[in-house]
Amino acid sequence: MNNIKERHPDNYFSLLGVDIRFNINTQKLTENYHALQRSVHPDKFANASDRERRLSVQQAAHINDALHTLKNPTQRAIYLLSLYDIELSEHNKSIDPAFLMDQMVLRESLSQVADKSDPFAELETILVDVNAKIKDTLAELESLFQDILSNTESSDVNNKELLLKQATASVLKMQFLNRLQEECLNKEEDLADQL
Amino acid sequence: MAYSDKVMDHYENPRNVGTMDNDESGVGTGMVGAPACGDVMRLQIKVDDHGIIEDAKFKTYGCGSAIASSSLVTEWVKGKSLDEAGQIKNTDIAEELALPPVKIHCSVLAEDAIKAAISDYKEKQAS
Repeated sequence: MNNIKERHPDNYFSLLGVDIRFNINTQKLTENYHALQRSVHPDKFANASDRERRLSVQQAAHINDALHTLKNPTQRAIYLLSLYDIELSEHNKSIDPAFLMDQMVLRESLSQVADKSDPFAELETILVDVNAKIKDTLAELESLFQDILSNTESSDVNNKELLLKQATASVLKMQFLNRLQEECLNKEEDLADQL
Repeated sequence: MAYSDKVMDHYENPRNVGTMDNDESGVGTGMVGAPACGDVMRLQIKVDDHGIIEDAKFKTYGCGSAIASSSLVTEWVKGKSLDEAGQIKNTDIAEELALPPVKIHCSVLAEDAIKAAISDYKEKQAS
């Protein structure tokens, strides 16, 4: 189960011609995406058979899915985990209570910004904090996936399982942080509307 | 998506919103979250000397169904023993609030929250 490429030859990374890793070259990703999309574009198959046309539409959709999955860091991490047969369940009781407590505090502060003397400054403080947490979590994921992907046949299986568990925990955190960031931006719009 | 009247009622007039001092004796705190939607829920209970839940508070950041589910649970557990409260099933919550299938996970979250609060209380008593 060691070589991801062998086990999943049709993975999104290979499809879009980027290395299988967490920190991908996003410029190369978009360039390859556009080149690939041009090659399967349905217009090119205007005179082709129905079957070929249908296939080109399917392929175009598949390439789109690949881009959207790999472009977003959280989705990319979830996808990497899926290559190791890890599915995130909707209910996960293993989320660190201290982390959830911190999320609660941030959500509470966010709900109160409108009552502050300078709501925008208050909001900015929260957003800076959230963005810093996102940055830390992304760095965590990069380091964990580097270790996971560099693991070869001879490496310790238990260690790999532990790393995958840690990566799963980091992805779960990312999901909460993304939501919080979204809420901050929504709040910013609300405040701007009230000006 | 349309919410049921009961969900709307709890959403517009949530019962028992608030915080208890977690350090106070007899207080148990359950913190749970749903990663997929980013919801966070805190449910707290205050247990008297006879093991009966005398008060319950919650705070939920999430959708209407998550708020209604936790609000309903705080109403239900008051006056119950820990064992009785621990037997509340997500299906009871979902049925009472007429939750649609896509919102069942909100009732599961509320069940997890009361269970977490009970086990937090028990852990504190044991230490």
